[in-house]
Amino acid sequence: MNTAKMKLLVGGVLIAGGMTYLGYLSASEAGQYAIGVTDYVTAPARYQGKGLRLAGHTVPGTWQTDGRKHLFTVAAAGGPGVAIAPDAPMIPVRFEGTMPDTFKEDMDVIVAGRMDGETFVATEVMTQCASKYQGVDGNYIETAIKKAAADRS
Amino acid sequence: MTALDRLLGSILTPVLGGASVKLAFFLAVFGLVISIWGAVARREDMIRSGKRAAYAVWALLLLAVLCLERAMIRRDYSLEYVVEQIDNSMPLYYRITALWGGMNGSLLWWALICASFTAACLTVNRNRFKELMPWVTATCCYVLAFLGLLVSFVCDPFLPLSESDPALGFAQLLAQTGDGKGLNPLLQTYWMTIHPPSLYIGYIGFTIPFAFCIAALVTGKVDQEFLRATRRWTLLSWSVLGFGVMLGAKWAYEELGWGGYWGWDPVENASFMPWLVATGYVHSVIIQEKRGMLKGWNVFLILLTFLLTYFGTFLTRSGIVQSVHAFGSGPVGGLLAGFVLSLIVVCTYLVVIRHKILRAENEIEAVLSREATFLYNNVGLLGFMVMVFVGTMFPVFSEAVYEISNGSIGNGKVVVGPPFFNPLAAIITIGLLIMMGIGQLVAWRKTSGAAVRRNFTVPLLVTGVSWIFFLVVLPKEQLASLPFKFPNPWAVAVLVSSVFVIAGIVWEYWIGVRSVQSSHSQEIETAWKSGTRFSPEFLIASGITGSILGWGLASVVLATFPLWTRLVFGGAVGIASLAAAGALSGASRPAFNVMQAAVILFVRNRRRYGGYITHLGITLAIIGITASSLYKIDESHTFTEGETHKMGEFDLTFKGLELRREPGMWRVMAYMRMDKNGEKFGVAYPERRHHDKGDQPTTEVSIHESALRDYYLILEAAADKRIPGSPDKPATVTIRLLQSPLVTWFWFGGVLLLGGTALAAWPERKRKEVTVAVTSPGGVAVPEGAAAKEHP
Repeated sequence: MNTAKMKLLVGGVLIAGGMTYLGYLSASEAGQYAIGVTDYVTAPARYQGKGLRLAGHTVPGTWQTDGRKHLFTVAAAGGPGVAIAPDAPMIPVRFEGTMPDTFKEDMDVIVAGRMDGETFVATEVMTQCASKYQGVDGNYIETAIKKAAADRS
Repeated sequence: MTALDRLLGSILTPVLGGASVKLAFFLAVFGLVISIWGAVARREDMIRSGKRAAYAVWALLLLAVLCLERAMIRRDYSLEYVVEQIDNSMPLYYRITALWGGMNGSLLWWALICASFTAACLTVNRNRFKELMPWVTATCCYVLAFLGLLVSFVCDPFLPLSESDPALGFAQLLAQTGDGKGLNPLLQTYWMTIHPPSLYIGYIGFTIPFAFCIAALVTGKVDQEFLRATRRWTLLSWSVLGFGVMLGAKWAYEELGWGGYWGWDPVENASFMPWLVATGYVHSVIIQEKRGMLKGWNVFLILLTFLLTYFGTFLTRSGIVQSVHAFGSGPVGGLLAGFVLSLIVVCTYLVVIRHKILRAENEIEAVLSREATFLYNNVGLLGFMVMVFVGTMFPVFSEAVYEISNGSIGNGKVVVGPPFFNPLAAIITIGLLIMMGIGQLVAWRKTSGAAVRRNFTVPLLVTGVSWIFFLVVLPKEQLASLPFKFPNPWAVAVLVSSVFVIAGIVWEYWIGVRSVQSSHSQEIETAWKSGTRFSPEFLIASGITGSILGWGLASVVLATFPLWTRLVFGGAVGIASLAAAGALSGASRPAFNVMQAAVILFVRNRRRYGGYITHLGITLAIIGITASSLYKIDESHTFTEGETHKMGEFDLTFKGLELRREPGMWRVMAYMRMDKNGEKFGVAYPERRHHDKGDQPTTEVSIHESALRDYYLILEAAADKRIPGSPDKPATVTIRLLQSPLVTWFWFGGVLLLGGTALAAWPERKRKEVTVAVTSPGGVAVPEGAAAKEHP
């Protein structure tokens, strides 16, 4: 191995090592636990103060907003189309910012942020974007069929 | 719909279309087998059969796509896919583009593009690369067979509605409403016509270099021939993929209404990873071409690029990683994983058995050489890809680590987002920019001290001055209204590195121009005196250069005018340049002036300077991304009707709310007047659209674009007594104003990337024509590569 090649190799190893270390640091700082509402409620101490991505179902009738500030509640739900159980654990969410167009009540969402006491302070709200490979929205067919039947009767 | 239409719809379309894709699948399998057989047995007739099979696959898939398009255009609701994607209110162009709006149709479209690339490659190379071509055909047929399998038996777009899964409810929907479900309103935009096809062409185009790479490995000919065969296909795919990614960002910026264009979502990352690796390949392949080095590395990169295109598809359609984009998690994911795995096995086997011929012919001689900087850039790009890969797969890795260390499942999944990606991306980008800048100014093998002094002094001086400018002037002028007093150190580092790249490009070009002028003055004089005209290359280059300059000029001067005005202006300047060049070419002059020398230098070294235009485009895009990300001003305010409020640079007045009924939707538009320094600047109509289908409104932002900054208005909320559920009070709107500097540089950089690559990759004139050009003044002055000999 000639000198130039050796220098290149040493440089490459140093850069790769530095990048790996920086990656580790970034991941430790920026990592968010992806959990559900039930996960949090069963072990709140574990997640207090940590970055979280909380998955839940928005509870109908809880969304209050002035266009910029939003308050709503997310609950553990069995999945799309499954009603929220009366005893399902719930967490209030506070969010300030632009809400995604697709956000609404009674839908699955992911909120990113941290717990502040009993409230989840979200820095980002993510909805399952009604994008490719999915239609207008999850309940559209059901709603349209019901509406057509009601119109006829 | 006539009886004939119904007959065609109910019988011919599913039968003809469905049969076509199935036959295409079997023919692709046949093409694969017969091509390999023919290559091994050296049977020309079999090799020919393989090629014909590939052409037939293309024809059949084209027929299938036409059948499906017909069904979608005519709203033939006898097919499940049509009911899913089309509804009665959709206009013609969305019915056409809805072909790739869903999984099944997009896979068919993917297969057709792949077959088209295959057919084009076979036609272009019909008399070349005799030993490689049977294996190229076989590899392409393998990919086509896989796609054919998916479209024929797993994701059949020709499935009759009568055979559709009742649980999906399509049949019931049609019976009850007489209407289809229709394409999502978010996809009913003109971006849908251009962004997905660009990405598909980018992704799928890599099939050809991959096929040549497999062929080279099988035949043991990983040499110059292999490089020649793949170069243009790689450049085409790489530039179109890069452009497609940028179009996706533009789509998100204009349509999604959150003021950003990149969120490090798995879907975005999936398209970015192969582009990064391919960027490394298009550079390292030059080292192999010039110095016979990095053969194994190049093979690795091209194989990895292709595998990443399918891995990305697997990632987003398997459900393994959650994305904000809702992708299915059906059997396609498993099949894609199997396909990628099969390719990994074959590639690994071939690389292992051919490792001896993949050894380098030469070694790197000096750290300060072009090949060394290319190599570092390659490492940086691959490191970038690994970072994106790790970040994207972090939930999977972290969960696996948690399960192993704790022995339990769940709760260990950690997701990383922009705070993880952004700082790492910034560090790597700075390193890449510095290497790009150095690489342009050093020579192959090694660079002498004198050359270093000559080439680096001016760019480094310019960079130093810019550093002082960004550090001292920028915070006072540009950032006076920002909450922080000092410029962001990341921004300064990126901007200063970018200046170094641009200064390097300009300086290197200037040295080239001077060498053209001085080295060939005698020949030029003779040529000019003969009065002959410039070569067509010169005229074309003048036109293109003029258009680019015109567009750049128009972007600044006509910043407030509509896009078409700038396009027309750019085109007009281009035509004027063309005319001027034509007129000049007849004149009699003793020597070239700077501009003429500059154009001739470019024409004679098109590949090199086309590459520099691409570098310039990427650098401008990086500057745009940095400035718009770090120096964005974001404000929000709730207005009552008639209220004026200062936001950013403007006094914004809410003049009223307009409700407009249009087919399929209500449009709620806020009429905002914008005043700047007491004078009217313009008006804006940010709006929300409430669609009849579904209860999710869409945001239509109002964007005022200019060369220096974009003003981006979002209607976040609107209340008016005319809107059901609103209080009986004067109208109120919540408006968010974003002021993002230099966003247009990002888009312009993307255009330069595509244009520069096209210039670099455009086929050279044949040797015979070059000889003719030597006798004419236009092209003659500088023989191919002369400038490169004169300076690094």
